[in-house]
Amino acid sequence: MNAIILAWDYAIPQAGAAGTSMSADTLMDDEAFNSFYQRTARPLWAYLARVSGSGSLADDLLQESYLRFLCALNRGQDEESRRRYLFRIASNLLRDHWRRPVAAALEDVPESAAPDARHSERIDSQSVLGPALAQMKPRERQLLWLAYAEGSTHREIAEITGLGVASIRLLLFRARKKMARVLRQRALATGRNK
Amino acid sequence: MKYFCSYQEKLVSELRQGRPHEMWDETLRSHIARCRSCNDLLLVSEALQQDRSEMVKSAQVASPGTLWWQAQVRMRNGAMQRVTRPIALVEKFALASLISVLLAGFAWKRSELLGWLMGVAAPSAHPAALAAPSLIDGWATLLMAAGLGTVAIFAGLAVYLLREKE
Repeated sequence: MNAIILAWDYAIPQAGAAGTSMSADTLMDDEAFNSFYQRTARPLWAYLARVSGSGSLADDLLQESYLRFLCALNRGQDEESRRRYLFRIASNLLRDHWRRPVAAALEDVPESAAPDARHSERIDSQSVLGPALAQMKPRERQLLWLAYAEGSTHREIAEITGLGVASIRLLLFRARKKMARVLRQRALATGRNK
Repeated sequence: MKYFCSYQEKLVSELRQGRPHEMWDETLRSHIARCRSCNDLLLVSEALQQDRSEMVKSAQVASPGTLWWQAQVRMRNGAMQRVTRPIALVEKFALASLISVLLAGFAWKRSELLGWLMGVAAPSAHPAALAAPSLIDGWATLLMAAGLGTVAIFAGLAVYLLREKE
């Protein structure tokens, strides 16, 4: 068995790397990945959970995002570029997820497309914002989250989502207006109930 | 339609710094009270930032070690696929060549081959067909074609490997 592994190691430099740290030629060792993961995993999960409306889907997409990130990592990227790259992978996975059941663009996905009620409840119970966000389209949630929760600039959002900067400005303006209206309505309704 | 207010840049900067409202510029604060667009921006930003911090605190994510290990396995499988891809391609090409040579040989020497087969089936009716000297020539041609096919396969493989190396 060892002989076979050695033979593959000779043919494929990375073949024997499983369970050990990566070779000198690779881009991120397990320690660097650990610290990058600690800094980015929770914000990325929050982004995925809020945009998709499902905690379990966010768990799956988070894992797949990091796997793709590690397999496709490029040389010469700083921390911020890596973070944007990771969010881009996650956004593409989200888009693919929305496209899978019906061939629709992200803009056409209905507001109610929150597949996992059990996990949505888990998220929503933590904050009053959940029900308000549930009334927004996934694309609106995505833009609002990136702009105001993550504090990304329009250019960074363009890099992550693949949209044009001018479109982002307009979409964000509309989404913000809609979100503010929903939040005010909810605040009024809560006030009346009290 | 007006999408932006001139104060929004200043407001965004204050929001990013995270200072309390009391420390903001008085003109900005009085503007926000009057401007609907800036008011929307403030309301949405603060709600989302608060939600983010709650979500980040409560998030339960998988262990990075498991992900690291899974990525290594995926990369290893990918590398193995890359190595075995040329072999699979050559196998397919060789099979296709063999089938082509056999079909071409059959089409070329069809009448002799059918005659020989009928001779085998009923030797008394076609005694001459069994000898079939022309068929022997046909087999020689077939062998030569197969040899040429083999050379072509190896040449194709050599070209492919050279291009891969480049």
